[in-house]
Amino acid sequence: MKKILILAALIICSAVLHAQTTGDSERTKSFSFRDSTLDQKMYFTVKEGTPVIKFRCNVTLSKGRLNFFVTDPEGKKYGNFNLDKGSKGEFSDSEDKPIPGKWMLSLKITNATGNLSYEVKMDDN
Amino acid sequence: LRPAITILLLTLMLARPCIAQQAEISGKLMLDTTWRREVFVCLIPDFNQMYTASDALLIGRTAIDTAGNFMLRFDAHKGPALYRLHIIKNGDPVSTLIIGGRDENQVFFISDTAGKTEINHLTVNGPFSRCVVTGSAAVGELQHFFTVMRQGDSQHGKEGREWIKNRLIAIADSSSSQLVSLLAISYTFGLDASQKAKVGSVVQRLDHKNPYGVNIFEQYPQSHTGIIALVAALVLSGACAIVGIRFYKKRAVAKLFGSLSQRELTIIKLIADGRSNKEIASELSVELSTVKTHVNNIYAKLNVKGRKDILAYKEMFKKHGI
Repeated sequence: MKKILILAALIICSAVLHAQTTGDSERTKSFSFRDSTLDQKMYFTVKEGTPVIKFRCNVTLSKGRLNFFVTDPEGKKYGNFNLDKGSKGEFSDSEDKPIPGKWMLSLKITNATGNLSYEVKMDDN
Repeated sequence: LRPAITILLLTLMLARPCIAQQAEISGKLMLDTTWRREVFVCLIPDFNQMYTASDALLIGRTAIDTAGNFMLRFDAHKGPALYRLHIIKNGDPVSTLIIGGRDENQVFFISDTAGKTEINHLTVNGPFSRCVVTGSAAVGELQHFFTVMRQGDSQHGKEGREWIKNRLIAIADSSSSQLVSLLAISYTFGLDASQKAKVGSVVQRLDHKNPYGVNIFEQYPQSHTGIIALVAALVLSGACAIVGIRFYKKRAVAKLFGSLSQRELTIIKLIADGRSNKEIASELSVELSTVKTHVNNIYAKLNVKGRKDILAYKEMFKKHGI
């Protein structure tokens, strides 16, 4: 019984660690998509005293639609841009002394083909 | 020939409102060789599409000459509308947006029917990093909005956020252009109760049919105080009218009864008791014909047709002791 409990605890710990690692790495992503549909919301925490947060997103779209934005805990939107087929978008922004709390990155792709790379970078001094 | 000319003139007069009015954007942009020498103008139908890269929004394009000058006439939207002028780098698709950074490639302007706007580039440090947009009062107010937004970028922390919120509310309140007011409101975020109340009072003053305000008007619905007051006034005046009509009706009936003789009142009482003319004649010891004459006089004075109608005056019988 003890062994089973230890094993279960190990499995839970590894799952939590994996989720945290994935969460961090998800803040920087680069990928291609083909006839894809995706509605993804990613959350990340900004700690109190974080000096700056930087966003960057580059997209080229040959087909479909795409919407990208980041919101802070008060609902302020950053880079709310939409791309239609045959378009290209480059977005970069930064916020000094960002509001601490749960931020959200929203990415919505509808029947789209293209390339996307985005980055959310925090300087944790 | 004369009828033909008349028909032609009439046709032209009728067709005139259908011909779109032309607006104009001109200016000077000094660009380095990385940029294509062409400007593109898009109509922005709502604030959510300010940063939408789509060929479907494109309404015009024109070349930039070797001296950097350009001029474009386009079909103006009916009423003030938001437009975006953008340029692209060589090799990029027509619908390319660069948002933020040194190479930001777009600038917004407002144009009314037949409005004229001018964009003049001041520096080579980025295509639109420092440019002057001139035109109508709305164009000036839109430039002020973007200046405040840029100033807001250098305001940090909680105080900085409050600063930008209050500045946006002030722009919404003071702008003569409803489009700029709505734009400023659309950029507000995390408002406290007092800030929401201020925005709410600004929204009440705006035209709720303005297409740029659809989302805002849902958030701050039109106050129904005026409608409630109107309904209350209608109900009150209706009640007054009913009371007045009843009062005058009673007075008129009282006047009618006043015109009846004592004998006629006695006969009415007997009619009300359900007596026939014969019974009345016997009770009053008069001829049947006399009773009939009295009854006919009563009918004429009260303007009724028969015994049943007389019973409708029951309340008045009580008043006259019948």
